Amino acid sequence: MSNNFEISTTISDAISSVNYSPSAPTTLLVSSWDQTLRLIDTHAGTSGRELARIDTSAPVLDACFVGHDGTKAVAAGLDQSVKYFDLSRSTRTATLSSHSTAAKAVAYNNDLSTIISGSWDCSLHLHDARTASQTSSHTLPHKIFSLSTITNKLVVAMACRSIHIYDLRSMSEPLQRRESSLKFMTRTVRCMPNGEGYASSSIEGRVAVEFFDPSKESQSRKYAFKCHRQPEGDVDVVYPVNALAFHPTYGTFASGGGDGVVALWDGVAKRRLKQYPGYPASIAAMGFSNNGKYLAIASCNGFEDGKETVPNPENKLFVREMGENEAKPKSMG
Amino acid sequence: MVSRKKRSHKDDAQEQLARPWCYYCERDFDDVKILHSHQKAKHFKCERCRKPLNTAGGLAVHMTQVHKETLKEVKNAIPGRESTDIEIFGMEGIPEDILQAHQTRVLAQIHQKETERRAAQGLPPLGQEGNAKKKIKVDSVDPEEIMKRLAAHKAAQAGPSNGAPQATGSQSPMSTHDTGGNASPAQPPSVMSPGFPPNAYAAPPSATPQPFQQPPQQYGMPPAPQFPNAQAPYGQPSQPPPFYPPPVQQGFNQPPAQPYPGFPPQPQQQPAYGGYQPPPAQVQPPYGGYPPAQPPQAYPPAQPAYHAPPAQAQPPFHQPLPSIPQLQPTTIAPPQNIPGLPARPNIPGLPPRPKFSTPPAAPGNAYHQPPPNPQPSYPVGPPAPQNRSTNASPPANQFFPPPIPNTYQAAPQKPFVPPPVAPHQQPTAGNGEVIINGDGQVILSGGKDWTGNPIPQAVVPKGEAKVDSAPEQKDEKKKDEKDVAKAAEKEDTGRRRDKDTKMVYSDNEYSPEEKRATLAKYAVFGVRIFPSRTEKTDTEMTSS
Repeated sequence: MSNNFEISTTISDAISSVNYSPSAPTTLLVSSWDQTLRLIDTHAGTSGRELARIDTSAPVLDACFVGHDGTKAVAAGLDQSVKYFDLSRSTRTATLSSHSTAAKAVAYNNDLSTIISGSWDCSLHLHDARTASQTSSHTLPHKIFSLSTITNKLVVAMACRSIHIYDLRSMSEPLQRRESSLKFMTRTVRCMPNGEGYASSSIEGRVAVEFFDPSKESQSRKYAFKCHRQPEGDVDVVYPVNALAFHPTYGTFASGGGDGVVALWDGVAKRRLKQYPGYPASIAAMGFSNNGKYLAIASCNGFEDGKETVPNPENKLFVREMGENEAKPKSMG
Repeated sequence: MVSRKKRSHKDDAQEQLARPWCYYCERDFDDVKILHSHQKAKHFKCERCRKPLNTAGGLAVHMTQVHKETLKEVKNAIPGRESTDIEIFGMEGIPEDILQAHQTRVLAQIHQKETERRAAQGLPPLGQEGNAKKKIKVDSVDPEEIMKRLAAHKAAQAGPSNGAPQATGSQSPMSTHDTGGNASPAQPPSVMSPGFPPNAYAAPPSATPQPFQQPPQQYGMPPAPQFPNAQAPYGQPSQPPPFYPPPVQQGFNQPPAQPYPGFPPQPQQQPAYGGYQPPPAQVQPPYGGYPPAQPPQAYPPAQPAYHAPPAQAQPPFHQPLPSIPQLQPTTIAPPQNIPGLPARPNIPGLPPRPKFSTPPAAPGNAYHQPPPNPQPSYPVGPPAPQNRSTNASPPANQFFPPPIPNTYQAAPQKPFVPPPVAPHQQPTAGNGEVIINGDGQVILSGGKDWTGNPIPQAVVPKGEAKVDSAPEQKDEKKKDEKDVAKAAEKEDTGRRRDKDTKMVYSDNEYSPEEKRATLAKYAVFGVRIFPSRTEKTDTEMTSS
């Protein structure tokens, strides 16, 4: 049994990211194009309560918590800047670095206390979270669309289906240069909690699961599957898969598509565990809580669902409470 | 009792043979559905994810696509059957040789069981009791005895023989045979011949000499298959015994065979012939119209057989007929087969045939039924040919398995088909076929073609036709069609997905976020970032 409820917010533009706090299972960091960063207690009252709201002075394209106490965050803005926030004192802001164009993605590696930001200007910036200062800059061959990091690995998804895998300890050269196993533009990349690999999604209704281990055996395990397609007459309408989120303990993952559907997958058994249709608009972002009990889902109109010109786009936030074994993978046969 | 046992034994064998069985493990099941589920669970289940597939090929594809493994062999298969190359689905796809091997094995098992049972019960070994008795009886009848019997029979039949004055010479021998037959109920053929002889004899004379000679032999012959010996004696009186075997066969093959074929299958009934003898005369009256016309034409031989059969055959015919009642053609077919065939081969005059066709309908009780059928044309000759081919053939097969096909083709074509009736028949035949082949849907389509009325008829015939002809075969066909249709659907769906897809977001160069950034409200931040490019993309987007 899963319970889905909507968080009442005043968010006035598309949501770009939702991240649950690493320390509190009900604290959610929401970034939006409405130039705000919000901290929401999703389980306060019946529809959540806004703990904090920070004006970022620019649309936020991505954000994430920094550290493990859930008090600090970093945001990538359309104004080319990567900003660092102390959420407990909303007035305190620091700009970590500036790209030459909009910063599209940020990620935080807790093991190395490193903040990584990527931009459409093909540059990758690394920052030390402890000193809140930029440590290095790297130029990549293509625009950066998505970042994800686990243990000491960094996966960078770029335009032209290019994917680089770095070892954060030696960023001079990427560990691996890969071409996405998907034929279309990569939308999102997320690393598995166990550090073995990552999942990526494309604008063409597909998700690929790949593994870091370059050995043949390991690479033969990679696969991709179709999803988020809806038949209309004789035509299959294919939606982009905008969001991926791994369950922190089970290793299953959720995918959110432009069709307003969230699907839960067992990447090992290669089976779909659940499907949650009926969200009002494209799924823009998702995030599991640190205990895996809650899945935050942001639903927004946009290019992703072909409704970018809707006069009153819907920007809604939902929380789905996962049942005891809802996200548990099916045992192998 | 013997007959019952035999039947039960045969039935058991048929049931055993009809049971679906699994190619991979030789297990048999009550139902094809159970077989399918068995194969899914035992042979076509993916070891990795436990997903049950429908076929070995499907499993192989699943393994390669999902698990990137190759399926080497089918699980739980007996040695030699592990191959994944053979596409097995239920009972479909089993190689012919293996299928036959299985059947022989089943039969062998049944036979062994039966022999064991008989041994335990102290019964004679299989295949010896019924046949042995009959053979013994046949053997016991010496030619001399037969001659005596014939003489006695002649005397006895003096009255009945009068009915058929024409072929007295030929008849007399026949009558003698008859008497013999009467004397020994075991020899039904003789009985048969007696009743018939008059007609047959008359006919032969009118017809060509050859046919005639054959017919007499035929009389003996048709029933002969089992009777041959007895017949030989019969024939012998008129001609030496040696003749019987060869001549009889010839005769049978040509005309008589058809009529008889029905009879022979019912050896048991033959004894009844003795009783029938009187009836034949009676029977003739109903045919009355036929026989008179026929005898002169050469049909008589065939008719006689018919007459005889009517009495005897009727019981069996009725059975088939009732099932076929609606399918007049089918009902007609049987009569045609019997009379039409013999007469036609001889075919002195085509005209008689039409008569035959009609008469058969009349003679057979079932025939009377057919007329009531909505389609008058059918009852006549015409429908029979086509219908027979489809519907009629099945019943015919039961009684006259081999002869029917030939008879149908030969006889119906000439007189029956050509006339106006033919068109009607064709449609009917078409319906029948349609019905047979297709399921309800197909039937409907056929009905539409016909027009409103035919539909109900067509529908009814289906059920009957199925029962009559070869329900199993039809069912199989249907299943096959269904499967094929399913497969086609699957393929279609798969193709559709692959073929027609419409991407909501098809720009492979600029992400949705980039596009959003170009919106007017973000102009302050992003417009300058990718002004030219974004415009291009925008145009592309709109165009797309």
